[in-house]
Amino acid sequence: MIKNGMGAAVRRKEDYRFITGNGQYVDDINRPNQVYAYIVRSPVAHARLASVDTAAARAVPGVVAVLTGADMATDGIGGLPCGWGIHNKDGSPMAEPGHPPLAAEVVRYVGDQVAVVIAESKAIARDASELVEVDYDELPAVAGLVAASADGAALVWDEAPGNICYDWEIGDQAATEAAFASAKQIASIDVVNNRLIANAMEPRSAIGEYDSGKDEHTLYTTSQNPHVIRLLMGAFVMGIPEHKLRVIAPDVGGGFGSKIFHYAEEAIVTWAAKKIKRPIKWTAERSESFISDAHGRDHVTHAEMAMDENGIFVGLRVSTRANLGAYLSTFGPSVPTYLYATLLAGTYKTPAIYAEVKGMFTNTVPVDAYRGAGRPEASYLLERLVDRAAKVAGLDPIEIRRRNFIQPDEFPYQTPVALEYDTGDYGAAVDKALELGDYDSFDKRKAESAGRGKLRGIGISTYIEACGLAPSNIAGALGARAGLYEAGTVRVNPTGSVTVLTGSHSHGQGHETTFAQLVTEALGVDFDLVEIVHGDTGKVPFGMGTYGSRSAAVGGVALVNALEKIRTKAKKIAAHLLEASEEDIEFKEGQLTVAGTDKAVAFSDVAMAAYVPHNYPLETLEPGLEETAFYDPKNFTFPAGCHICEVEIDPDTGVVDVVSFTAADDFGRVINPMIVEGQVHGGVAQGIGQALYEQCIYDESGQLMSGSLMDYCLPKADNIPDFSVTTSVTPCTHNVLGVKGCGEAGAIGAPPAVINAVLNALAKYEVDDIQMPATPERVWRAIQSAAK
Amino acid sequence: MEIKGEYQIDAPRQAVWEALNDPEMLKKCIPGCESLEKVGDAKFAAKVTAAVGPVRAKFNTSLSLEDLNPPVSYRLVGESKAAAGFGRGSATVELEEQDGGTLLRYDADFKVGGKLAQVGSRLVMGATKKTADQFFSAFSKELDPGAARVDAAVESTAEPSFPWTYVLSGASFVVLLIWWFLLR
Repeated sequence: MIKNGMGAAVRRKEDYRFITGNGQYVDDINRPNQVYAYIVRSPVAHARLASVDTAAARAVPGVVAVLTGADMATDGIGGLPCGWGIHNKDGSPMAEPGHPPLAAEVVRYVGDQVAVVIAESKAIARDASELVEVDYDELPAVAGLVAASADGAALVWDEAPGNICYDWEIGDQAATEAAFASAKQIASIDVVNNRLIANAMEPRSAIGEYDSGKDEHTLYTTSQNPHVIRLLMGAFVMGIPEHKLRVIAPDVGGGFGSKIFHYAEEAIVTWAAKKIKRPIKWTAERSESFISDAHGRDHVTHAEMAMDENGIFVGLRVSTRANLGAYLSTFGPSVPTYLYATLLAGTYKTPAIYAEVKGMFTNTVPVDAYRGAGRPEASYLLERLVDRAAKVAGLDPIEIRRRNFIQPDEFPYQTPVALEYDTGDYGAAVDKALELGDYDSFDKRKAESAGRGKLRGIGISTYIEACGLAPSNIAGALGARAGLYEAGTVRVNPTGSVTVLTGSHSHGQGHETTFAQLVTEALGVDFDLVEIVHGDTGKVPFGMGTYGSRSAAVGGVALVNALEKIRTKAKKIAAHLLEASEEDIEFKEGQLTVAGTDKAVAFSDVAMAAYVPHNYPLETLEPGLEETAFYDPKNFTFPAGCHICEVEIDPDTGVVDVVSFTAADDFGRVINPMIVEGQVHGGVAQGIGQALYEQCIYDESGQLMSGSLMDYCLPKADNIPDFSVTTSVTPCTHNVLGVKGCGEAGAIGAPPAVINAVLNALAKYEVDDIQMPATPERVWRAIQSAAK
Repeated sequence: MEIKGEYQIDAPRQAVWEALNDPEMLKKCIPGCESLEKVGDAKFAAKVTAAVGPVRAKFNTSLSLEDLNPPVSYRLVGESKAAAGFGRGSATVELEEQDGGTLLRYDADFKVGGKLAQVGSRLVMGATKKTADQFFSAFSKELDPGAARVDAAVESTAEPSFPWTYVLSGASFVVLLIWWFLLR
């Protein structure tokens, strides 16, 4: 194996700058003559703007401008676009109301943007914002799915009767009904998938800058996909062509999906910077992030599994209501539909599946993708339902899973809900997890816990997810309004160092390391001589960014394809230099050798020859050594795995302690096992967070109650056990790397494993349901009500 | 959210009523009160700077007094607004002669919004109690500099669905409600 190549646990290159405080985040950037923006946000969930009086704020010394939605409308600024259209059961398009960056007439959630105050300092802007007099004529609000669905509920949008954005379906309803009619046993469940707030460590930030000499805009922003922002904001909001708009997303401190989307503040600073002819910086305060970053999850679902007499699944029907918030965020509509219901087959051969999803508007922050985006909701529902089915069928939870798994010889496997799984071995992952988690001796540990007065429980999930978004033609047929390929450029410099320009974006994933490993593997170039450039539309030709665990499976493959082009050209150059036939050149570990001889040339010499073409086949080959590849995947990738969680519950207090967590994941081939393990750790920690701690709560009037880190409980180090993590590999069959993606799996597999473990621990009380988060109060109440 | 409380004040009921209706007295005793004026029949406007935990803001408060029954009871309805959020609600206040002094009881039902609701929920009860204590302490001293004894008890009943708290602003709002309605 080549040093620091594919499969090596190389330490992350980027960490030195991060841990020494030398990362360069948007808020670290300051432009000459810069001013600061503070956004005036609605304190009410739904109101007509009777008046917005900015005179007092404008009079404050140091205030440069105060701009409102009316100013934006006057300038013809467009609304924030939605990138995915969903159709109703009857074929009609979803309700798609407009989304002005600054509200001009009506505000629809607490946090909706009303005005922007721009001043010489952030403090002045903030102080002056308190003088913006807004007269809100309050309207009735609906702050959750239940309220929004009620008869006679107030409407978020007049054009969406019943607050329904869409009423969508997938699967064969008739076949599913027939399966239920013939079923011997049926298990049913009602679950709430709790609403979450991503809480990336770095709050969102944006700097707008305008060069009047060149008529060029630059936007620095905390984004996972700067080219997508350039496209969305340039084409749909601002009317700026690509060549006049540069979007830079430098170091970004965590995204988890919440930084995919095109946000109002990006458009506001870009627009205002041209108006006032000075660069403008906006950085969210933490409490502002809570009410302006897109939230995640928020489903209410009823589902039923039909089985034959042996516990074999014969049909699944699912009815879900999903909260989309007050406006459609960039990918909001796709999350509870194509990223959720298409995964309802899970790892099982259920032959008939029918799911219907109502996307609902509410007077809350827009909801969109959050780590896993639809697949955690599917996995949680299904893995909870399968445990319940095991109970109904009188089977062990592992046995019922094994009976229903798609078997290794049944791939490719077409599910009843649109996807075709390419490969997998779900039983193998279970075997590995059971062994690593020492499943067989659980009873001993349970007895030991009982000796200390604690209730120990064990829970399993055998999740699957779809990532590597996505085959553009399939995504397009399903309503995506963008292509989902990726681009990569490999620039070999004259001395043999390599600069990679990738459309993927690293905001914690470690691309500077893993992508460098791919270069080292392909070209034999020293790992330290490879630089990965990302996050700048002015440098990287094109890209679609990082989300849906797509960087390796799409961006990495684009890079490998570009590297293959470099290898091909390098062989041609080497053949010329070595006076041999191109077919005889072997390219291995940085040396190009004439097969069967000791005639060789180093790759760095080939690079020099390409840029100093004195001895070079100029008649047939261009000088230079730079290649670009665009890669559009043939299919999604399907990471899957088995997660086992053990909890200990204090029956007196209801406190749940996760005491062990085992993951055996199939991510396909692994580029860097250390980074993959880190991704699993982070994902599982967030999954434990959803299962036990995190919950976004609105009161009935639409005020966010869990609006700070005092009230929104993120998991902390002492809530998380040491993880036991391993991989169980079946390489992806349709990309050259064989990779599947690992970024979200932890957040997908963990929540059902944790809750199944909690219910297992409470088995003696016959508690058969508990909703996330399983807080001490809920667990204690469940024990108390069962004890009665 | 609902907040109830009662205070024993060592002064006759009539004196308490009158003091509660004396803008100068109230202004002196309300923590952070910058101005307090009568803007109509049984309507008042006040500016109060309140700090609760991390939120500090200047609240513009408008109040009206209803169901006046001197010197026994009245109802205060009001709204308090600041950049940090808003509070609105109503409170009933009753004065009862007890132990040679006056027992003041209030029962407030109010709502907070904006940053106050978002950030302050856990702090509102404590802050309310503290602000109310400060007021009554000052008020008692003004009425009876010798005694200066205040027994304060604040109990809260948050709705079960929100075991969380509300904001600081809520606190200042309640205090404002109580005092303002006492004004004339």
